[in-house]
Amino acid sequence: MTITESTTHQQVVVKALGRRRRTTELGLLILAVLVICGTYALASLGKSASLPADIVPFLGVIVALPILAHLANRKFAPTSDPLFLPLAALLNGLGYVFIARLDGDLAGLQALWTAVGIFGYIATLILVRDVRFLQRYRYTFGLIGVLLLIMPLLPGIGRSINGSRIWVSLGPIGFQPGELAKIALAIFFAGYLVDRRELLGVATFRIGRINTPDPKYFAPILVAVGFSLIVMVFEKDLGSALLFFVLFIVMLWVATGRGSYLVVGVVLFSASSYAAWRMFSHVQTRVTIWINPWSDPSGKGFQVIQGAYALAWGGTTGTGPGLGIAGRIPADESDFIFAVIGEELGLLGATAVLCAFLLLAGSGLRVAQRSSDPFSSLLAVGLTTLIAFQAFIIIAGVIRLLPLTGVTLPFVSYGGSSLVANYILLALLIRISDQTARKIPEPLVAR
Amino acid sequence: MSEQLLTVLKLCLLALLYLFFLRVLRAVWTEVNPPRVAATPAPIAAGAVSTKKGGSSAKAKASTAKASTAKASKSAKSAMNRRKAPVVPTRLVLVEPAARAGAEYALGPELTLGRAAGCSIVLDEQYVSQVHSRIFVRDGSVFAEDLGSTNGTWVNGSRAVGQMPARLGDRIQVGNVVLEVR
Repeated sequence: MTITESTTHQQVVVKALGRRRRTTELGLLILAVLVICGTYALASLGKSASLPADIVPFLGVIVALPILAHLANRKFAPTSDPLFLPLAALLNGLGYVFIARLDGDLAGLQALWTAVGIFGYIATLILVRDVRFLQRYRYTFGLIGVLLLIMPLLPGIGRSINGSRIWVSLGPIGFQPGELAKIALAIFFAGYLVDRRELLGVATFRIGRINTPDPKYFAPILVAVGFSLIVMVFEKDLGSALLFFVLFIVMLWVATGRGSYLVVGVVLFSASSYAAWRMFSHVQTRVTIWINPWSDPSGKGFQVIQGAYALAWGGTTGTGPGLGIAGRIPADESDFIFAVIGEELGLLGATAVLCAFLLLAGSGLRVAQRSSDPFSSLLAVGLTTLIAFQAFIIIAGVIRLLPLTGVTLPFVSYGGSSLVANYILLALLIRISDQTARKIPEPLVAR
Repeated sequence: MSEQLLTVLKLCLLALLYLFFLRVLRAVWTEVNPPRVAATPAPIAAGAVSTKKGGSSAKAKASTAKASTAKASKSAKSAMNRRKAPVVPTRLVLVEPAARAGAEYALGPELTLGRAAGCSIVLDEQYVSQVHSRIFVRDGSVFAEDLGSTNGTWVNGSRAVGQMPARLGDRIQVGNVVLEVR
């Protein structure tokens, strides 16, 4: 076999794989669109006993945008994993239906943000042709991430809404830069840890009787993490702080393969949560409501209690879309949308949402496992952790498994910044999976 | 619209939702166990490409070999090291290129590797720089450090940044030369 023959053979195999994956993706997308349209029709039947009048913008969002993203996949990432886009489209569409059912004005905005998100997705696919390109700018991304985190604290542009100072408003547009900061910092962690993972895995430095890795390899990342966590605590953004800390520990653990980092992480987490509980009154409030929401049922515990009632009222199959008691839970279209889904589609519908996140996380980890490039692999782990753990934090908060910390449910909740950031994140995962399937060899230079 | 009809429609919707997940699971299944026709020739083709590509053959072979065998042996051996009495690495054994395989070099406190005549280990190969890297022993641990070479120094398939530790059984790659720590 000559070089050309074998190369073309490989190309044929890759092409066949791409065709198979894109066909699967299209099939799943069509099914997802059917599910969403059905939910929408049923919701409007339940709410007003007539078929929806404003179906045109709705169809635009639900059908055109995912199909547009699918076409972009065909053009720019033909061999990427086929599961990400249909799952994201399903979550986004279901969320959209429930937002539309709760508040028509917000639905229009959410449609707009979904469009921006899809364009962000396509732009990321076009701009980032090779993920290793991001590795080169790891420190730039670290800096960008930290700057984005500080932005809401700046006077003039920073805004404080519902007690958390995580908003920036530039003219008429308000957004949460923290959502994008998470991605930038995940890129920084992946780039930095890939460089130093061997050094961080070997204990060459002695403090008393304990062997630890040399602090000079540790210091930069500890400074970045410590600084970010302090900023988030100042912004009273507890959910993001928790998410960020978990991201750091998981990436450190995966990069070095040392389970001891997990132990250190748990110890550090326990100590800092205890300290936060002692120091801040809003943390104490959250914990009190978590343990006993009925201590203040019409005040601070109202939201959590109404969420629990909604889930209980839903039963196994739910009241039916559009038939729940809407608008009763505060922040029902963002933080508590899971409770609304649980009420109107019941245990089965809520489980479906969990399944979707589970499958997204599984696909992300599969991409990470298959990638032969250590940076891409670690980045895929980080990005997957971001989506999966954010979903876990807010769902656990709604069902009182953890104290409630306000983060959005990725793709489902109302929220422009979150939606755009998650679509960009998805595009990076798609890019990694595409690259892994094609396996671009690195050239060796003769001298 | 009667209540029964709405209930029936709702159940249909939930069924459709789970049909979607069944299809997704089937897609996952085909991803994990790809159909034979497309999947079997892929590794052969990949191997053929890398071996036929003239100059890059040594590196490609070395990296695939490392990816599979060396990493497994590394973790197994390092686990063994931690439990049993530590065996101190004493020598470097040349693995690739095959023509010179088996050559042994004693590890010392300070070794330089490269094509230049002044190096402690002279490796006269096409992809090795004049002064390529240094390998040194400190407190019984071996470290490899790149000295600004063109093709880099690699420990078990990852590029050495700063002073990279190498354990017993690890493979250090200098250009197209692969040395195993014994």
